[in-house]
Amino acid sequence: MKASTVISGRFDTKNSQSIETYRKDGGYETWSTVLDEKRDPDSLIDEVKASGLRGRGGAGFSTGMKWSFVPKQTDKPKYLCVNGDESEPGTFKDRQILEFDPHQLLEGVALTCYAVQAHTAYIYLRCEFKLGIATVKAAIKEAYEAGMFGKDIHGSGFDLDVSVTIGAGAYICGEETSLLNSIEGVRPYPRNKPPFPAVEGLFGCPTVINNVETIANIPHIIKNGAEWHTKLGCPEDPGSRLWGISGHVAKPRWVELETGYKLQDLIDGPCGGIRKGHTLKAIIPGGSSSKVLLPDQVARVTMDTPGIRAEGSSLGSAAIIVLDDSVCMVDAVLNLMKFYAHESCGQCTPCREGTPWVVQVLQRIHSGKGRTVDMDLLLDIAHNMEGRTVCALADGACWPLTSIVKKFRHEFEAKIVAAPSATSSKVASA
Amino acid sequence: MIKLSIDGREVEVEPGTTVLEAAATLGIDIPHYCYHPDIGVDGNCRICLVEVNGNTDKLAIGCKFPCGEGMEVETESEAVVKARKGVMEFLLINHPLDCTICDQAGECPLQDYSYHYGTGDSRFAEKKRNKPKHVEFSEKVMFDAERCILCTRCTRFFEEVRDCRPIGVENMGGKSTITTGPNGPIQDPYQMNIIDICPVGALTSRDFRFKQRVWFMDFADTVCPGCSKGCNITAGSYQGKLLRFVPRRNTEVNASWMCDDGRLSYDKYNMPERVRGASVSGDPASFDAARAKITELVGDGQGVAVLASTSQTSEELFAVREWARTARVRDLWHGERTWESDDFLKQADATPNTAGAQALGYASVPSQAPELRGLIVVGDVDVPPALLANLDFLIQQAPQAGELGEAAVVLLPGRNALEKNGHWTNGDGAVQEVRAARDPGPDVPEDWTIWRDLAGVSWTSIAEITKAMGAVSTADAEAVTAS
Amino acid sequence: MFPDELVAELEEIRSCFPVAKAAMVPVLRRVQEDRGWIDPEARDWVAEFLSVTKMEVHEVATFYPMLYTEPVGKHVIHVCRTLSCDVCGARELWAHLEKKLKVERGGTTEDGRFTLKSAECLASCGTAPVMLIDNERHENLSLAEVDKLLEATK
Ligand SMILES: Cc1cc2nc3c(=O)[nH]c(=O)nc-3n(C[C@H](O)[C@H](O)[C@H](O)COP(=O)(O)O)c2cc1C
Ligand code: SF4
Ligand code: SF4
Ligand code: SF4
Ligand code: FES
Repeated sequence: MKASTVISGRFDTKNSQSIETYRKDGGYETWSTVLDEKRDPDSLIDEVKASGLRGRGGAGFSTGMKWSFVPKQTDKPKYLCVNGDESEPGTFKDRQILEFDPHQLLEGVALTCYAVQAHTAYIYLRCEFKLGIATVKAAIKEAYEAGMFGKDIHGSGFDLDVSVTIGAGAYICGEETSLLNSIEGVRPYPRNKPPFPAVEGLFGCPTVINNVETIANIPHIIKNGAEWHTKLGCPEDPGSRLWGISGHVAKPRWVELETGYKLQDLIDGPCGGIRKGHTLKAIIPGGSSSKVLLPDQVARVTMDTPGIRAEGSSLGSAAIIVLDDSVCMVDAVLNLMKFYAHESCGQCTPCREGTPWVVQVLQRIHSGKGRTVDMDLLLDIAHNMEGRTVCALADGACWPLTSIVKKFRHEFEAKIVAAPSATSSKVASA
Repeated sequence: MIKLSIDGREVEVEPGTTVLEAAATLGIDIPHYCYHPDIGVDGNCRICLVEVNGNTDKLAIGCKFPCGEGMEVETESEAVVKARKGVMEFLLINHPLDCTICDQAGECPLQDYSYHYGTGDSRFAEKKRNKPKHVEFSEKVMFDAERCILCTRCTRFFEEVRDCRPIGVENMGGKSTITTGPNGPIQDPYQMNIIDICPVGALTSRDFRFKQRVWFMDFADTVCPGCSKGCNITAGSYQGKLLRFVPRRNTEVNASWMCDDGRLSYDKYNMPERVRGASVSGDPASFDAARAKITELVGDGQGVAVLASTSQTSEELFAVREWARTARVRDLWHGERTWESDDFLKQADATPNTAGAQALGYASVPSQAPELRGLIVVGDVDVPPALLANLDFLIQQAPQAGELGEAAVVLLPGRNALEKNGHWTNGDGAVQEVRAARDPGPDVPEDWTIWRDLAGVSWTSIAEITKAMGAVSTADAEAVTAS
Repeated sequence: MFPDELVAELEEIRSCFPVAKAAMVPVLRRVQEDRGWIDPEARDWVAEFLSVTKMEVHEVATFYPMLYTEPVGKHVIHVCRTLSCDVCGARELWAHLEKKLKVERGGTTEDGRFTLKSAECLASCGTAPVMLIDNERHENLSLAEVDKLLEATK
């Protein structure tokens, strides 16, 4: 396990959010150099591609690759949207960057815009981030005043406008195309793809959407080079990430670690183990939309894309939710499914109808009216949602659901056997 | 061109063609709710899922997915059928399934598909969601939120076809509902189209509500007589009584739409009061006697004119013209009737066949009408009072006699616009077939037979006139009127 | 309808976007801060301000949980109910608040002082349980601290 300070290095510094602090550490030098040397924008894309950086928002797509899909020849303006909706249950990492070190994000914004030749960037923040919004806005002001943003920056001829816009409490707006519609001021329904945002995004123009933490990595990669980055952590999924650990550990916290560490080490070390008097029951390792891991899996899994895939789960937003033996898994999955049912935008049929149905079934089981057919019913409802919807919210609901039903079947059965109304009739598959 | 295969069959399509469109060219019908060819794609209902290149983890929506070179599409694979059944089930679990009292029953794809794919809501052991059931969207349209499947065809109709936002979607997730929200009742004069495009019975016509179950009704594909647009319609009736008009798709004329005024005009064609049989000087007479009287009155045809309605079919007008030729009546005029037009379908000319009449040589009534001895009024037409001033005689052949009836020496029955067969030519020159949607009852022969018999021609069917008409050019027609 | 300074602020928000409509959510939030909720009058004003129909504003305003299209109390409390909080004290917090304020989730106290709303994950999972009072974050809450906070929120 390798602790790291790439992103969080300044978090504990006094006035960490100010431009002076940032510049004392060489902040904005990379941006200035890129402009002064008139670097070929494509060379930045290549650098990021070669770095192996994967998006930190959840899907883990290669960032450089995503940028390379933006058309070079186009009459349309291009946009960068930074995704700071941070609403995936368990996730609280982007908030640290926004509140404690916004300038590395802003320098990342500048470099990203330059790489894809976008002249406008919107930083989309959930409105509940009152402090984060204020901090980023103040930082933007400082960056303009320092001549890092604006017209003809450093006499390079490159213009860049950056502003903050906000959401209003809807998880779905973190989905990248929903975010675009949210910014456009229409109902934030996710869009069907294709077309992809890189080609047809905000206002119908080519758009890059990246997570806050992803963009915060960019100045470091451009400054230190792709090779430096490939050497951090797991070679197939390199980098340093902010991990958020919540739930039943002695010390819930965020921590910056290079990829490729052992989850068990994190729990036992920096998190102080499971809370006193309890034992580990399950971990949801990548935000609520990832598949649950059992203690034996936790004991062996390494936290990087290949490692977590080997256990059938995903790193998602690096949000690790730890549940101990006090938790009833029916209860836990019901809690999560209420989340998805509440957050379904309601646009497409399987998710709009399926997520509340799942809640109803779980509630029934929970209240002692479960039937033995209900577990298979839940799995089949999930089967009918997964991969059949406009966006991945429904998939994200299915993964914890199916994995918990499968891995904790006995807990469901215990509730059902105790229930007087249980029947054994088989449920036909729809 | 792009080559791909659908269900193992090769097809070639233009770039940009969707899978659903490509499948249609092969006669493969991919089910769809939210997609409507005249509104466009949204991709929310997910019933049109297809399998592309064997990917069963993630299915593509046929209505939006673009065809690609070499693509292999399956529309009935195991995964597709399962997904479709799944979507059906999702749509039905919170659906009231009150088909027995639903106006859409018999015309409801939800009912159809659930019949095909089964399952319905049988695995659903929970309480259905309650939503408002009797919402007045306007004096014309009722809304039932429980039946609504949120396909947004209705809101997109206004947005994309009418460029207005009288209704929208409020709330989020399962609580989403179509609403008039901050607006009052819907005002748009084309609003009733949302009733037709609603794939379920969520939007119903307050006019038609509970009138009749569709499977008891008779239908005729015909043309709206309301104006020179000639929107294609299906006229529905029960036991000879017209109960509704709905638009019939014709991309060249009206797409899938019609105006509410045209739609709600059906009842006036039911005509309980009407001319039956012939009469001479107010007394019932045989057709022979009426014909004899006409021949006598018209004489050498000098000073006699015909004023025909432009709701008559071209075949009927042709028959009248044939008689006029034999009777040496030179002046063939057509009536005019206007209403307020709009920027969409509604035309100022409130009759369906002015162009047809003009092609047959019927002219507008001259502003300085010649001195007339006699006038022959054909069909439902407004007669300029000046024409009536110094007449010796008036002959009328029409479904309803109106105010003129008393003055007519000879009165003959006629069929109204929904009782006719033949053709109308709309304002854009489209020749469209008109089919009788109701029977007028006894003693109302088809108009053309009356004039055939007067002219002494031997046509035995309207098709024969259609054919004969094709052989006579407009030039001939001018020759006739000039002779 | 609004003081000049607020209108100027809203105009500045609007100017960040190539089309006025894109200012919808930030403008609605700002208006809500001023008026407590988005009443019909405010909604119609925003429609005009952004050159859109009232329906377009209504569709958006009714979508977002953090935009209120119904009146709320003087102060709005959001308590996170999602998993990490749920297993780390949110249940006790909920029970405490419901009892103390004598309201159910979504309700407003009789004196109109507080509206108690449920929130989904507030991105403070490591410092659970968490609640917002008028969008101000309070973390690692003990019941005693909650009482103090309520006391201080007049
Ligand atoms: C339902 C849903 C919610 C999401 N929420 C977020 C979020 O809050 N923040 C985020 O960065 N990405 C979120 N994503 C992922 C985004 O769609 C997108 O992949 C990401 O912002 C891309 O940035 P990245 O490549 O830098 O990770 C969400 C995805 C889905 C399907
Ligand atoms: S999957 Fe759910 S959240 Fe995504 S578009 Fe469909 S209804 Fe909306
Ligand atoms: S009312 Fe009908 S057309 Fe409109 S969204 Fe509902 S189901 Fe679709
Ligand atoms: S536009 Fe004219 S033809 Fe079309 S429905 Fe209306 S009246 Fe009838
Ligand atoms: S018809 Fe394709 S998703 Fe509705």
